[in-house]
Formats: sequence, structure tokens, C-alpha cells
Amino acid sequence: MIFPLEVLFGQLLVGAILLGGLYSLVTIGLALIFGVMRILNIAHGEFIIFGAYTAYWITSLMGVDPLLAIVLAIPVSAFLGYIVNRLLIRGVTKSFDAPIVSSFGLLLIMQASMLIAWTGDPRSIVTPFTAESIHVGPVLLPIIRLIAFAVSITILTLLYIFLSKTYLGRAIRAISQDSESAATLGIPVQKIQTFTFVLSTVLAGISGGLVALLLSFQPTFGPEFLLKSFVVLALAGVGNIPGVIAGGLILGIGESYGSFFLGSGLRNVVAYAMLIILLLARPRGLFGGRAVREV
Amino acid sequence: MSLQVRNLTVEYHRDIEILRNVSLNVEKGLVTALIGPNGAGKSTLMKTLSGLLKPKHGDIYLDGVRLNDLPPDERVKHGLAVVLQRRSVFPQLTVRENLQLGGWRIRRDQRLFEDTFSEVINLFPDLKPRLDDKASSLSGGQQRMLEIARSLMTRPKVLLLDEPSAGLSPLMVKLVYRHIKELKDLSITIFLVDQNIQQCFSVADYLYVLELGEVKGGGSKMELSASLSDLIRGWLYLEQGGKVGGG
Repeated sequence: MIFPLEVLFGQLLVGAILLGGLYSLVTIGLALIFGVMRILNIAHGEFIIFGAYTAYWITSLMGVDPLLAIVLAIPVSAFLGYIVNRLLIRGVTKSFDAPIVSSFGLLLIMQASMLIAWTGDPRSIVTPFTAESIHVGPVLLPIIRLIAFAVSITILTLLYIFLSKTYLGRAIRAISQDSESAATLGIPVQKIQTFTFVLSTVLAGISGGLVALLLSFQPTFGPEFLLKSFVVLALAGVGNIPGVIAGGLILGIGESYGSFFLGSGLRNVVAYAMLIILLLARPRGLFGGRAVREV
Repeated sequence: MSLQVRNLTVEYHRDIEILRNVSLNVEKGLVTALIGPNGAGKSTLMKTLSGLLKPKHGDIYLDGVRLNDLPPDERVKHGLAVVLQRRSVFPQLTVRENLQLGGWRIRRDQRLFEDTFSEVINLFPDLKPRLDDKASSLSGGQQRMLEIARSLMTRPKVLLLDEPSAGLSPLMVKLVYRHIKELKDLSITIFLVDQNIQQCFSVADYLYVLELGEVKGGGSKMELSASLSDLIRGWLYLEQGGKVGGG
């Protein structure tokens, strides 16, 4: 016999894990840029929201399937990433603080531009299965969350394989460890950094598309995702992809149980509290070793 | 002629010149060494040759190709490889992955890549049993050998070695120099900078002396060995700020 409280906790756990997978994908773009270019991209959340809007408008205006819309939005995110890297990031990457300032400026520009273009009205992508769930025993699995989780984990797995098994992926990891040394081996560091920046904006765009499937969003929601990415990075220790996945799941679980006990209004407080406690207790992250600088 | 440096002047800050009108030649198939006291500008010259620093003026030619405006990765394409003074292995990658990345330039030519990999591993057999270990797990001397092996994967025309004995135990220094001698026997062109004068003399065909950013002279081992003790006494005088000795 299953007690209702156990069912409730089980339901919370499943929801948390499904959300945590998305948090991992939300974070990985930020981790890539930080690892390879040593840039803390403050505008990372805006790239996510921009991806959400792109998928939303492709679905609304062209009437295509939402998942196909996320795929169609990839070139738009890539183009934006290329332009931003070309105009705002390259040339200021030699110092640590200049890209932070320029990406903060980018945050304000993107947020204001999206507000002017698309207003502050909350939006979301509604699919035929938005309200559908499947039963696994007494626990309900919302189909849309399952899809978002599966897409997130698939992309993260493919990214892991790309970084560990391909030549280009190894070069990206090498640059994240020692870009000067990589350059002296003939590895085109600047080109690969540009590629990595574009890749990270594409990943942010895809995660934005998935966010649009799960939640309502507005142009001002970017910093909230930036905060969540910081927490996951703090958990992972700016480290490897498995660490980011684990960090996302822990954040999802912490937020879900925290908001259950403290109230949903305090959901972000839980994330902030986790960030502060981690920075005080384990500044290298739960999974960060002494010299982990890999992506 | 392989590598030519003409009137090279380098400054880190405006009007503070670290190198002044440095000119030298690195002949094909020979080991050329640059010796000098601390702060002479030896590593600055290596960084400038490899493209990590830009000269104020002067020219660098490799087999007639002017390298001045090329970034480090483009210089590798033209045949210039460098082993930096500091530790520069990718610590989280395996020894094999480090070597593979050295072969970035030839990665699309599978046969050439595999042949080069085999040649390099045969030159550095100590690395063979460690291929799947992380580079960070190697000792300091093994890491230095990996760095040299990795640079050979670029199939260089000229190999620049910046202080290959720095930070190593005497035993490891001997081992590293044994490998440098093997490379010399294979007629690999090497430009070597080291504070270890004894080891430099043991492998070099020609030596230049750099003091306070200027080339003070050069010659074969025979030519320089007669004045070596005077040179070293002078360096000690320079390194101690000219307060003792009789430079």
C-alpha cells in the first residue's frame, strides 16, 4: 500500500528530475563559454529568452510543430551568436572584466529590444500534449516535461561525445585548459573560440525553446535563468558535462522540495541560498576537483 | 638557411625594450643555442619567434617566408614549433590526446598522421605505456618529454626549445638532453635556449650569447669555450646588479 505522502514526494521528485535536466541544458552554454574563452557571459539568460521567442514566433506565424520550430530556430541563434561574438566579445577577451561589462550591456540591449519588439506580455507555446500526462504507477509524468528532459539529456550526451571523441571537441577542451599552448601546436584558437561561442548560443537557444514549451516567459526572465545557471555551475565546479547534469538535477530537486515546504514564492530564494552555501562551503563546487577547468 | 632573425626589437611596455636589434641565424639540420644570464631576454625572443609577442620592429624569416604578421597557429603551418618554458601539457587530456592535438595540422592525412605518431612514440618510448593516462599524472620530466614529442607531431622545420631543463631534477635533465641529442642525430633543426650551459654546450653546433637584450657574440663550441669562464663571471656580475665580482 502506498501512502499519499509518499506519492506526493515521488511526484515532486519526478517533476524535479525532469526540470533538472532542462536546467543542465540551460547551463551548458554558459559553462562552454566560460571554459573556453574565460568569459562570464552575463547575457546568457537573454540568449535563452531570445531562443524561446524565436521558437514561439516560428510556431505562431508559420504554424509548424513546436519541436520543429526549436530546430528551425537554431540558425537564428547561431547568427545572433556570431554577430555578438564579432562585435562585442572578440577584441575584449584579453581582460577578464571587459567582456563581463560588455555582456552586461548586451543584456540590457537585448532585454530592452525584446520588450519593445514583443511587449512584456507573458507567452508560452501550447502543444496538443501540453496538458497530457502518462501514469507510471501512482505517479503522473507530464508528457511535455518528459520530452524536454529527453531532448536535454540527448543533447548533453551528444555534446559529451563530441567533446571527448572528435578532434574539434578535443581542441575545445585543450583550449579551455591552455589556449596559448594550443596555439603553439597550430590549433586555430580564435576560430575555435568563435565556434564555441556560436555553439553555446545555439544551446542556449534550444534550451529557450524547451523553456517556452514548459513555462510562460517574458523578455525580463533572462536573469532568472542566469541565476540558475550560476547555481548549477557552482555545483558542477565549472567542470565537466556529467557534473553539469548532476548540478541541474540537484538544483531541480532543491527548488522543488524547497518551494513545497517554503512556498512557491520562495523558489528563487532556495536557488540563491544554495549558491551562497556552496560558495562558502565548497567554492570549487561539489564535483570540482583541485584543477578542473575542463568543459 | 632555415630561421633568420633580423634586427628584432621587442618591448613589453612603451620605451622599455627587452630585446634590441637582435640578429641571428639558425642553420638547417644544426642545433643552435642561445645562452645568457637571467633577464637577458631569452624567453622573450622565443615568445616573439613563436608569435606570442609582437616585435616593435625587425623581421623573422623561415625558409624565406616572413613570419612577423602571422599568429602562432599560422607559424606552425610554416614549420615552426615551440616548447614553452613553462609546463604546457593539457593536464586533463590523456597523453595520446595531447599527441593527437600536436598533429592538428596533419589530422586529415590519416597515413601521414599515423606514421608521424609512430615515429614520435618510437623516439619517446617512455610515453608508450602511459598513452591512456592523463598528462597530469606524468612526472615533471615525462611532461617535458611529452611537450617535445607533441611539438614533433607538428612535423616542424625548426623546433624551438625554451629552457627544456627548467625545474627538472639532474637525472631528468640528462634524460631530456639525451632526447635532444637523438633529435640532433636525426638532423632536426633546433633552436635552444637554456641556462644549463654545460648541457647547451654538449648538444649545440653554434651558440649565441645574449646579454641585456643584445646579442654580444656568437661562435662554435670551440670558439666560445675559451672565453666561457669570463662570460659566466660577467653574467654573475650582471645578475647581482653589478655589485660584486669584476665583470
